[in-house]
Amino acid sequence: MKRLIALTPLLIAAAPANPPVVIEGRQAAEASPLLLNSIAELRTVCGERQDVAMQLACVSWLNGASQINARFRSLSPQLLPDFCPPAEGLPLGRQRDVLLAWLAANPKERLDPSLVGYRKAMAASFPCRAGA
Amino acid sequence: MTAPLRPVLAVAALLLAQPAAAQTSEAQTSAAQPADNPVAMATGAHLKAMCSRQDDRASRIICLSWLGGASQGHGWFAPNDPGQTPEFCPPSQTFDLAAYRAIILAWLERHPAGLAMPSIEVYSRALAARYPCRKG
Repeated sequence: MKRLIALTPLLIAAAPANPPVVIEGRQAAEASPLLLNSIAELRTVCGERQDVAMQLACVSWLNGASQINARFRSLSPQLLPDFCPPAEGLPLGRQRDVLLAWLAANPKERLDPSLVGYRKAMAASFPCRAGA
Repeated sequence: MTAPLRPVLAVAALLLAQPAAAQTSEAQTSAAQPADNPVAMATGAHLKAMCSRQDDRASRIICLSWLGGASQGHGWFAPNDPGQTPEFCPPSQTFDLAAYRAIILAWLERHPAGLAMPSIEVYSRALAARYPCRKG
């Protein structure tokens, strides 16, 4: 419980998160791992199986990122590829599993922004067909 | 026992949740998504329910983490339909999730119809109202 209580203010004080994913990635990574700015933080937080605060942070972050994918298109598809979820849906738990598998297979990208890892992981498993 | 249990249940609900707005059309989202599961963050009502609860740890984490996931790539994406999810142009590339939360809650107070909208539309409309992009 103590940890849960301690982590929440970090999110709230949450200091500036980082919009342009590449430009300021490292700077904000110093703030809190719960901000999920880097792939390394994404791996730590989403790989957590005990800490409830981390689990909530992971799946809620995935939820926000996936909703953006549904309504927006990438202006930089090589860096942040779009992905196309299967028709039956893509539950957040599955997104987390896909993401963790990709992160494990691509350890060299750990310092990149978390959104880059997320988009690449999803696009690798759920690519959009040409013309989609 | 109750206090630690609630966040656990929220995690379970999230893991089972279909991220509504991500996978369904707007009409499907409005019609089919459960109004009783605000952790799904599918509608404006869900945003309000989670983001206005300063007294609940799980709600604060869900709200701010969702905003973080939605915001992180800002500037690197273009809306498919700017009428529904307009672009916004904050004065600085450095933004504050707590400020975004306040802007969205204030917008929902002024636009109660937003409670029935998909959450990503509320997010975009609220921030575009606060930070409009100049044409040209």
